[in-house]
Formats: sequence, structure tokens, C-alpha cells
Amino acid sequence: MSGSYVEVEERLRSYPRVDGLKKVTGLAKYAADWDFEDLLYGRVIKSSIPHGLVKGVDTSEALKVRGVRAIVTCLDDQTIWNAGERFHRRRVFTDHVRFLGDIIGAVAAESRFDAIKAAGLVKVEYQEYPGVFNVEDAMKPNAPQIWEDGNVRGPLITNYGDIEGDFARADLIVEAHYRTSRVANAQMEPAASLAWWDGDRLTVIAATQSIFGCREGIARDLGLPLEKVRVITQYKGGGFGNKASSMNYDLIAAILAKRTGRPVLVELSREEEFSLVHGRWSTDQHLKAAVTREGRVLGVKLKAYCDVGAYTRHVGKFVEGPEVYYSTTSWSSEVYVVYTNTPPTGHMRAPTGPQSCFAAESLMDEIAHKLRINPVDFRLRNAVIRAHNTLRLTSNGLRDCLQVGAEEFNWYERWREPPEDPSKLNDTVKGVGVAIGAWHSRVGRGEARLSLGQDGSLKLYVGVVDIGTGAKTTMALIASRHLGIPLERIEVTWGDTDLVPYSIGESGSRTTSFTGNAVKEAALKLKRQILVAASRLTGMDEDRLEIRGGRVVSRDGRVSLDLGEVVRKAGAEEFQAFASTEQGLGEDEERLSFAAHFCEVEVDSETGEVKVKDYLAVHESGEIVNLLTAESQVKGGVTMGIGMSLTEGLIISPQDGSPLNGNFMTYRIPNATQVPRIRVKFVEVEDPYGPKSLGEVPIVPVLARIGNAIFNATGVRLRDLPFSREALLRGMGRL
Amino acid sequence: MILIFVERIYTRPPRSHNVILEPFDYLSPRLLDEALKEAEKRGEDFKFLAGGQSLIPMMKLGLTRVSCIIDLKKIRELSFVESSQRELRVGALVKHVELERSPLVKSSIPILSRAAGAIAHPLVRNRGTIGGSISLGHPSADLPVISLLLDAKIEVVSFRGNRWVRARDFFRGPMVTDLKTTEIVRSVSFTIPRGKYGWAFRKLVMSHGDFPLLIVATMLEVEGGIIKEARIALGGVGETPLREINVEEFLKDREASEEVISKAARIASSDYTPPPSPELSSGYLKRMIEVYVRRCLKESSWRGE
Amino acid sequence: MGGPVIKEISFKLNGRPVSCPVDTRLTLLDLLRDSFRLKSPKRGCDETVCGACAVLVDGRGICSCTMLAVEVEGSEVVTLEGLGSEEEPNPLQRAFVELDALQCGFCTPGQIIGATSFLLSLGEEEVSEEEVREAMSGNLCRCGCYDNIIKAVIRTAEVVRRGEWKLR
Repeated sequence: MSGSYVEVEERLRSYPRVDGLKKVTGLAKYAADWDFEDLLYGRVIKSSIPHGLVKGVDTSEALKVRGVRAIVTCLDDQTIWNAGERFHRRRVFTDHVRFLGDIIGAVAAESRFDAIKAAGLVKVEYQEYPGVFNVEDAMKPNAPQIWEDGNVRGPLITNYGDIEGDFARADLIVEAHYRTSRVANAQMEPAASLAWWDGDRLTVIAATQSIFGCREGIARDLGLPLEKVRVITQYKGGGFGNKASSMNYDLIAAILAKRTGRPVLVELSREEEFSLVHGRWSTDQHLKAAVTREGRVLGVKLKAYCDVGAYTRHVGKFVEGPEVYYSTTSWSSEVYVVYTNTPPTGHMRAPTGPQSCFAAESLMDEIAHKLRINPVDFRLRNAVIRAHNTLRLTSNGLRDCLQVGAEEFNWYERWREPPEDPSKLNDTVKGVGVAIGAWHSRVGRGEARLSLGQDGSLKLYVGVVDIGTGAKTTMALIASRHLGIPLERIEVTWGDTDLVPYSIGESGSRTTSFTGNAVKEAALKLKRQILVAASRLTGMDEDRLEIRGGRVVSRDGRVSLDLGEVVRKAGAEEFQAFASTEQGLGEDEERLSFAAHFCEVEVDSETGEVKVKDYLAVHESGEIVNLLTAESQVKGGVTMGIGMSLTEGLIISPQDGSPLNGNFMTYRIPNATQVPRIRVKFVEVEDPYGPKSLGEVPIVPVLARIGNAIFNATGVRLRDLPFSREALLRGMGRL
Repeated sequence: MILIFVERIYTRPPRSHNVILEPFDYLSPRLLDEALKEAEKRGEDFKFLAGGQSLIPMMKLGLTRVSCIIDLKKIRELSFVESSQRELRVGALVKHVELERSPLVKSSIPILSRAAGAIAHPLVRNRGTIGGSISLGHPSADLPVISLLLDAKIEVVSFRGNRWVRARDFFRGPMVTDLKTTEIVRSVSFTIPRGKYGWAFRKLVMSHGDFPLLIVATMLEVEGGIIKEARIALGGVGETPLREINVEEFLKDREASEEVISKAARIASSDYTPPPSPELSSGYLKRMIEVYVRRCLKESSWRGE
Repeated sequence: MGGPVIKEISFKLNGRPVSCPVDTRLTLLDLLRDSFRLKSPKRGCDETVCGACAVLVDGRGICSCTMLAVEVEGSEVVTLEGLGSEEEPNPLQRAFVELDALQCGFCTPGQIIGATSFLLSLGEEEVSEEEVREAMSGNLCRCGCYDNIIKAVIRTAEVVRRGEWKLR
């Protein structure tokens, strides 16, 4: 187990997940895998019109179904789902139906058959209103109002510098119009929530990304004190943002469980996942850039309209991100948020990221082409120095990413100008593209508890969930590294609000920074405790002792104590350390993770089919804790981006606003044959706050990068996502 | 595999639960005679079950109501692959994966093995059957197209006896075949193509493993640079899989040159106007007929050398 | 129509003979998860596309959401619970963990079944990457682990080919 310090360090850099074995043997239990003798099955009752008021509900037929134990509707329940809509109040069971399938009630029954049958037998009387299913119609002056204060919000503004001054100074103004589609999170685990009451105490097995966020939301919405709510998530099948706090189905499970006095499992089918649970909104973006003839971008003006569906949970500005990629001295974004009678929207991996980057990075590519500057050189020339031209970056490896990537990818040899006349192309053509991206890397509140037992085993308690990010392993590695104890000796307890201290969970790429920094603090505290005790034991000075390979050793080799021994001899049951950290960035600081992605595409010039061939993702996220799982995060984000570029786009019916392709057969996420080998390289820099975010930034540059490569191969600039093979053929003049 | 695709107008499925709500009876006889007798007895009121890769999804979506299922899988005599000098005969319950891997099929009719191996994905191929696929008669399904290409003969049996139907007479309309409710396909017989010929099989899908939008299958016999015989079968261009007779006649006795092949492909394209899909227009699909036919013919011609 | 139709079936489950009464409407997935409490096959889509419900029936991977429970009479069914264990994972499971061929883990049981089905069908020849990608094309992974999954399957295929692991 021991070896030189360096060896141990290297080994620690790449570690398989601590829960890997549980997952490959089927022992990992997800929300719907929990079993109870008296379990009831819950299903939602959905509206059958896209817009209107519920006037009456007749449950008599439904109640006749033998196994039915409770039916709740908007007529007898007023619970507000506070996290359900950002700008307005949204009820769990709505009486103002705003999209087809909006939830107006729920059924709990002995079997799935009974629940589904009963839900289908509930008769609802509506006062129907006309519906609007696209931005244009929703913005018309006499459009039906989805919300009392209208269908349009905004503009949401992002501003810095002297935009008009920069535009006046420019040698060249370049503008373009980009459109991106709705995308579904489509994580493999469909929504499920299991709840039961024990007297006045509620427990929810929630498939959530944040047990504390979920608990807080549930307590608030149901009017319960926090201590009366327990949220457990041991394993979760992905989420990518749509389960970052309490969800309506968590509340529905709790409400049905209260009514029936039994545990209730509420489940959504895959189709319901597509049509009821929020995903990424669509955007319509107009960009204008002020450029000098040497290729410096001075400022950018952006106007965007976003179709956010009937409800939106997003808390940001819907289109943002690129204003911190470049060394622009000014920026002006105006974003309009438009409600329509279509499925809700909310967070999906880097909520504003890929679509905003797509527009900005495509425009940059167009500018580079106009000025005949190599795309990589153009980015190097314009890479950010100070965010918003004023904020100091805690660390900045963007240029390094570009340079390292260009070398690794052999960019300068492989790049050549795009073809002049695409209609003359034959067979397959290849092209290369580059795009940069960034994502915020915040710092905030985290907690961790460590406990060292008399047997030398170390227990780590953190409130993470680990939706696939490898958070448990990362936290354990941080503890291991700062304590000098091998990972195998660390047992992680997670995912239960009763047992672990606070964590923000996995969303917004905050876990490694927020909770990770708390783990580091706790580890250092515990280390202090151990060394103090060891010093007393051995009579040696503290600074002559260190912990290595799980033992306290002295530099001169005379002392070698097992950790458990130190605890025992100190006369303690265990040593405990708890850390609660709350960090904030300085007022003039900004913290970002960066990426530069390179790829080669192959275009069939007769069919317009695009294949992504060679992919290199270069990332700078400060210090990488676990190489193995960090690489997987990048590959995952890239894969999702490839889907969003080439095959995914939710098609909304112009008749009733419902998704026309809301199932896996017609909404195509990438499969094993569609993804190339993805090479990942990390550029490591030191950051005062430690490791930076990584979960979301990998998806950000993918779309632009593929679009840029397609342009390089064919000379055709596609500005609508997903990239259509037909649009490409038309652009090439071949259709 | 599923009804929705035939219309190419995406209507919302009637239910979004994928659960079979209505109870039904289930029989699994071990002998063909038993199965046919039961069928006769029940008249219209039942469905046969083979691989289930079409029937079960349809039942789960509520697209078809079933009061009784007669499972054919225990009937051993329906599962065989045998060949004589001139014929390859395949039992109805032979699975796609078996066709894909059978050394006999690979050596005698490689295009059949290839087409079977390209259906959907492996988990589906491990269950779907040739009998099921042919009985469903979807206009853009792989095996119906191949059976048409090879002029297959389909053996149909009922309690009252058996008959043979040529593939060209079997497919009547979208999911409409010559089968009566009480009949099943017992086997499909393919004449093993003789002489030197080349073949090619391609399909247009939005995503690998998807239900195809367009299938092109070709066979060319070329001697001394002249096309002696040409066969072209298409799926997804009409109400049934089709043989492109116009083009076959055009190609006969012509030089197997690039010019001729290009012309033939254009003729094929001009004959059809496929309905649009949610992502692709009619015009695009029409153009793709030309591209795919041309590529298949080209591949067939050099494969045959 | 009357009430549910119940049939008595007998089959082999993870090596043990079992029998039980079954509602004809149940799928094999329902049967395994609800009646036998085997939670490894997952309900990912219920439409034969994602492969998260995959189990081995008579040595071949199939979507259990698209098989009626009654159909399994007389067959041998193997779920992930019947392959390897936490104490003694088999070479495929070890490869998955070592090469990080998983993230959230929800599709993992299906991936392992899909891979096992492929490995069971292997002959003498070396496998190509293309072949492996095709073999795994019925198992979707939204976390995007394909790269590592392919590596894990290729590695294990070599192990099988060299005779170091005899699959059942």
C-alpha cells in the first residue's frame, strides 16, 4: 500500500468510481426501485386542451375503478409549486390550463393498470381559450393571455462598455441571424418520486439532483418545518438540470401519500417526460459585431427572442455567456422571454450555454472568414482578458486551450479555406472547425463531516447525490489527497438529508467548488487533530510529522503509527471534523472554466449527411481532481452536443402545441454508432479557489464547432439548429 | 414497425402510457395444426404472435385491441433454414439475427443476410421474425423489399390448406397483405440467384437503427460489360414495396457504364414522389431516390465483376 | 371484456426454476421488477428503443418491455443480478468500472446485458470497433459513455477470444 509520495499521487489522479461496482452488479437502487408492501402507484391527470380554465371535474367514473384509493384535483388542492415558474405562481394542480397535458390532478391506486385507467376516466369540463404556439402569435397585440401580465417579459439586459462608441469606431459591421430548437434533457431515468408519512414527518425518495434544495422546496410548498422533511436520493439516473430542486411530482407523491396514508410512487412515462417536464427553450438570435480590419472585435449587439413554453424555471437571462469569452470592450444584449401554450422549459446542461455560444462563435467564424484570418488565430486575438472588460479572472487558460489544442489537432496543417463553389463538390468532403466556450465557476456554501474511527477507517459525510458526475468519488479523493489516506479506506455516506451535512447537490457545476472546498477544509482540520494527538503521543514536534499512506510517519522514519492507534491511544471513540464554508468571489472578480474544441466532419455532398469524425476537446478547469471521471464528463457533454447539433430537436405541433416527436423513436439521442472517438486534454492552471467547474462547459462549444467545420468543408453556413441535411444541400445549390 | 410511420403525419399517440390496459386470452400451441384450428374457431377475434416487435408496441400504445393472442413460438416446425440446389427456404419464425448469421444464407443469398442484419438494433433482431415482418407488410420494411427483389414465394397456410403467393402479389397496400385473418405465413422460399451477379442494399434513416424512410436494393448480372439482368426493389416510395420495372427494362442489354446508371437513377426518381417526413421534404426524398439507386447500381456492377 | 386473464408459467430465472401466476397484460419487465423484485432491468422508455430493460432470454439480449411475461414459459431468463457479484465481478463488469464505462448507471444493466449477448455470440475472429458499435447500438446512454463502453467491450472480447473467460 505504501510507495513513494509521488507514486501515490499519480495513482490518486485517476480513480474508478467508488459506486462503480454497485452499478455494474445491479445493486444501485433508483427511486422506482424501492419496494414497499403497501405501495400505491400514482399517475397524473393531464389536460386535454392546450389553453383554458377548468370549470368542473367529474371523478365518478374513475372512482369506480376497483383499485383506486385517492383522486386529487385542482378543485380540492391549492398547493403552490414555488419552484415551478420563475415569474409567476404555479400550482401543483392547475385550474388555468396553459399547455396540452398540464397537470390538473393525480390518482393513486393499487396497480399501475388501475391508476392509468382511472386517470383516463376523469372527465373535465373546460372553458376553452384559443392557444398560441409560436413566438410570433404570442406577441401579437390581441393574443390570448397565458399569464395575467402578458405573454412577453423583458427585455433582460446585459450591458457593458460604450457600445455605440465601439460601433462608430468599427471598420466593419458583421451581422447574422441564428435559430436554435427546443431540446429535451432526455435523461435515461424517467421522473419518479416515492413519498410516505410517518405521523407528521414526510420522507421522499426523490430522484433529485439536490436533496437539500428539494427538501427546502417541499417544506416550503407544503408548509412544513424543515426538520419534518427527509429527502433521500441514493442513485439518480441523470437529470442534466431538470431535477435540481423540488419538482411537482415530489409534491404530488407527498399529497397522495397524505390522502391515502400509504407510500405512493408517482411515475411519469417517457412520453410524459417529453411533454410535461421542462427542457431547453428555443431561441431566435440577431447578432451584430463591430470589428476592426485587423480582426479585433470591439463590441457585440444581440437581440433575442426565446420561446419558453407555458412555464419556465430558468433563473438566468436565457441567452448569455459569450459576453465573457472575448476581449470585447462593449456588449449589449436584449433578451425577450415569450410564453406560448407549449411544454415548459427550464434547465438543461449549461442552460444558456450551447445555444448562445452557437450564435456568437458562428458569427466569429464568419468574421474570421470575411477577413481571411485563420479561425484559431482569430480566437487567440480576441480571447478574453478581463470579463466584461473590467472583472479580473481568478485564472484564465483559454489561450492555452487554443494553443495546446491547435498543436494536438495539427490544426494549421489540416485547415484550408472552404470551397468557393459548393455545387461543384463531389462525394465526401472534409472540413475542420474550432470553437471556444466558457462557463461560470462559482463558489458558495458547502459542508462536510469527517470521522476517523478506532479501526483507522475514515467516514466522509457529504450531501451530494452523484447523478453520474462522480461527485462521491471526487469528494473522497479530495479528502484522501489532503489527508494522505488511501481512497480505499474512505467510506462515503451521501444522499440522505438525515445523515449528511448540506450540499448544493449537482447542478450549475457547483459541487466540486462548493462542497469540495468544504471537504478540503474538514480534511485539513482532521489532519491537524491527528497530528496534534500524534505529537503528544510520540513527543515529536507536529511539523516533523506527516500522514502518508494512512499512517502517521516522521520525516526521519522513526515514527510510524496506524491512524486507528492514534485515536485509541488518545482515548477517543473517534476524531471528528466538520467544516462549513461559505465563499464568495471578490466584487471585482470573475471565475470561469474554459474550453476549446476542435473537430473534423465529413459531409456527403450528395445527401447532406454529416458525420463527426475526429474530436478533440481541450479544457481548463483549474486543477482536475479525478482524471478518469473528468474525462467522462467531457465526453458526455460532447456527445450531448453532437445530438443537439445533428439529430435532436423537439417538433411542436402548430395545431395544439404538443410535441410531435416526444418519444425515443422519433426524438433521436445519439447511439453508439454516431459518436466518434473523443480525445480529451486538460490544461491545468492554479486557481485561488481550487478546482473549477466541469460538468456543463463541455457541451457549450460543440454546436458552433460542428457548424464551423461544416462551413469549412462545404462553404455553407448553417444557422439553424439542428443542422438539417436538406438545408445543407440547398445551401450547396444541389437541391 | 409502428403504424404512425405509414401516414408520415405525426399525430399524437392516443395514449402516452405504453401499458396494455385491456385483458386478453393467451394460447401457445405446440403444433401448427392446433394453432390453425384455434384460429379457425375464433374467426376474427385474435392475433398471431411471433417476435412481437410490432404487435406488442402497438398493443401498448392502444393502437390495436386484442382479445386473444395465439403465440406461434413453440411451434418448432416453423423454425428452419434449408436449401436445395435452387431454393433457399426459411421458416416463418426464423429470427432476423438467425438470418443475419446463418452461414447457409450468407453463402447462398448474401443480400438477405445483409438486410436482416441491418434491421433496427440487435435487441430487436434477437426477437423479430421474417414471418412477422412479411405479414405486417409495411411499405418501407427491409424484408418485404428483399422478398420482392428476389421474387420470393410466400407459403400461406390455414386450417383449410396451404397456398403459395408470389411476393409481387402478396403486398397489397400499406400494412395490407394477401393474408386472411385465419392464415399465417409458414415459410418463405427464395430462388438462389445463379451466375455472376452483384448486389447492393442501402437505406436512408434519420439516425442509425431508425425505421427507414427509403430502402433501395439492387441486383445486377453483368457479362462482358453488358447488363444481362437488373433488379431494383424500393421501399418507402409508395403504398407497398415496389419493383422498379421501368428501370429494369431500361437497363437490360445496356452497357454497365456510369452514364447509363445515372440515367437509370434519374428515371427511378422521376417515377415517385414520396410523402414528406417531419424533417425532410418530398423534394429531398425524391432526390435521394436518384442518389441511392445510382449508388446501389454502381456498387452492384463492380461487385459483380 | 371480463377481468384479467391469469396464466401459470414456469421458467428458469437466474439459474433457478420458478413458477408463478401471471396477468397476460404484464410485460416481462413488469414481471421481473414487480413480481420477482429484480430491479436491475429499468423502465427507460417502454418502447423498444433505449435497451435499459434488456435481459437475456435463452442466451440472447432482448427488450423485456416488449415481451409479454407469459411468453417466457419454458425459457431461461438471466438478469444482471445473475451475472457476477460485488465480491466477484466478472471480467466485463470489471472492465466497465476500470474504464469508467458508466456515469449515472441507469443504462448500465442494459449495457452489460447487451454486451454479454454480443460476447456470447463471438466466434474465433477478432472483433472490429465497428462491429462492437453496431452490437451496442440498441443501448442508449444519455450521459454519453459510449467511448468508454466500446473500449470495455473490445477489451473483454479479447479476453473471451483468448479463452481466459468462459461464458456460460
